[in-house]
Amino acid sequence: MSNTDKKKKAVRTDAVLFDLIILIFFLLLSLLSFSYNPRARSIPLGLGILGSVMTLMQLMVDAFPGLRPKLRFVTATGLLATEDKAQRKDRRKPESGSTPAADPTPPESVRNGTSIGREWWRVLRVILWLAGFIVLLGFTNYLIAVGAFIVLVTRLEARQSWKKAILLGVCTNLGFFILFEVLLKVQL
Amino acid sequence: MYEAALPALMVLLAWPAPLYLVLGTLLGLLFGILPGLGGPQVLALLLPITYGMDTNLAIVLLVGAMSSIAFGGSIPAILINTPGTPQSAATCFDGFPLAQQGKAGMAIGAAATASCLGAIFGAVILTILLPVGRYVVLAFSYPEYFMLALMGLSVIAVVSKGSLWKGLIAACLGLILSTIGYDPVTGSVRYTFGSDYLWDGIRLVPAFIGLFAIGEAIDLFLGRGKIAQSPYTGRIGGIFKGIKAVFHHFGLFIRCSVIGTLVGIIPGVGGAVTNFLAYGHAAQASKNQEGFGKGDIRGVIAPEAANDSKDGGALVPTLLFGIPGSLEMAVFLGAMIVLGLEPGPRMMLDRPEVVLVLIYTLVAGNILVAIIGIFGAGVLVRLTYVPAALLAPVIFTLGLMGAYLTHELLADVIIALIFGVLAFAMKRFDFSRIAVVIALVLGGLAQKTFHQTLLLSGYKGFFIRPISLGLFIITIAMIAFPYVRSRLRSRGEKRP
Repeated sequence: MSNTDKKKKAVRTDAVLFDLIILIFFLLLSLLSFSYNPRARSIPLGLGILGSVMTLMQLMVDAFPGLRPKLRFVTATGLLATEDKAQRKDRRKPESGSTPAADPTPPESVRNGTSIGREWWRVLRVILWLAGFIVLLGFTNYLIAVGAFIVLVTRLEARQSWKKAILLGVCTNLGFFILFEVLLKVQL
Repeated sequence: MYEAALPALMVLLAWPAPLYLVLGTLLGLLFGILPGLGGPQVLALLLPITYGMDTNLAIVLLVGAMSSIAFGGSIPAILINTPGTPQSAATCFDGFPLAQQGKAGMAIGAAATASCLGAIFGAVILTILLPVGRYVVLAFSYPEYFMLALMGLSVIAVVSKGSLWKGLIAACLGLILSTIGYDPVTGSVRYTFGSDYLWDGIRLVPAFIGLFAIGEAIDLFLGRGKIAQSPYTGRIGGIFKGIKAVFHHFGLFIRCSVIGTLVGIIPGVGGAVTNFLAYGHAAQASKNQEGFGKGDIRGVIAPEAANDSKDGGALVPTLLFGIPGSLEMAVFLGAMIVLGLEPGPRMMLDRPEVVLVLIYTLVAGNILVAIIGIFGAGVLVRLTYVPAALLAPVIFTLGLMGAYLTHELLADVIIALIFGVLAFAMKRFDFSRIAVVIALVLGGLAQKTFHQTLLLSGYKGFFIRPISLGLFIITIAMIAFPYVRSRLRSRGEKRP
């Protein structure tokens, strides 16, 4: 299997995982709806069931690409997407090759050589930084939280120099101070 | 009422009214630009300042601020894919791709022009409709509101690029998220998991900040590039191209202004619905639809025209009945009462000069903010060339602080982060964020009015009222039209 095929397979696995998370979410909310009165339950249960069925079909198509010809409606494009004559002709051809057109495209960083695993590790780190900002905001003044976040993320994550990171932190803090305290007179 | 036209104009032109107009406009522009702040906040801030002021000057200050909110919200929507206000959400769909192509100036020029002219259109309709507007307002009831929400939801079928199936899954997700919280019709509290915060449901402002600002900033930060993917030329010549584009697509502009004004008249619907409806109409009715979502200037003109014409429409129920058309109008209504004005049909007879000052200020404020936007575009556009490593952390903090500002609750910030992660994942796996946004905005209105209609008249209630039936037929036509046209086109291609 070529490198590109391996990357596309990894992206497909991630897509299946995302479909599974959405499916579990719909199933959970559908089950929880039984604790409400019938009128309150009707719309969430209906949406939950519909969402679960649709997501299950999407999951099957992503997990087993061979099912795509049988479940064509799952990969149909939106009403706005118009195909020209050549595209319609291609679409009618039987599926061939190992890479169906409906596979999600690997992100640019992955196409440039970063592995999928490293990409998701970077995403997780960004989320942790943001969570850290929220925790800091809860315990300290917003200027401390903003300044610390900007300096540390710019230096440690974006790999800029300390000088740039500190300058950006100071400028952002100054901007926020003028905006919130001076202009808007918001007490935070 | 019209005999007070000239005296009212003199009031607006006499010093210090122009000063208050400029101050109000600049403040409104700032509040519109900042995610998490908007019309209700700027009016609430200005309200104490207007105590003891001359009534006309107070109106100029307040309406000046209100008039610049919509365009203010479009600026970050175009430059950093973050709507400053929920009513600018649809501008992101094509405005940001234009910025990525190095055409931010063109997008801003088009947005400024469409906003300004849309506001003038709305003001003209307001002036004409005020004497007869009460018939329109009173004609709308629960079935009509439901059909309007359904019409807005049908736009999902249009904006779902790529897989329609994934768009519909995203719509289901948005709709089920809109059921969270206290339901006043059924009296139930759903999916709060014991949290008082979730009683009010998912708040739109933090959700929007997450879906647009945080999700996009994560993507930008990981990509390590810049927003604009074409080289910086130092010239912002596209602004006048954008201005010309509005006149080139004048028919579209007029239709979307009509949509904005008519929907604005209906109390409680709000600006977020208006811009989606206008965008959906533009996408469905256009001959060359492939460009929508990829940087089609029509995708900026349509929602911007509707956004600003909506203000004129929203003033009809506010002035005629004292029924606010939106949260912004509710705060404005409070301001009018504080100033000693009594909204109602008699206002046109007893205080016609105040009504006309209001209308003139609406127009003047929009013209002023459009000029500021056009001349300030050169500075603003440079943002799109700042490296992501420096810009993304600032967008993170600005977005999360914007979410915090609304109610000073950490829970809002957490919601923004959760939606940001969701948005990033949805973008990565080609699920439509737009569908989630539309469903989240309209879901509450749709289910409330659905239950209310069933309680009042059963299922037939949706189809026995002429306006409701008419809206339903229009919705079906909107969904079917692109499909029918596509089939006719393919039949035409098959013939030798």
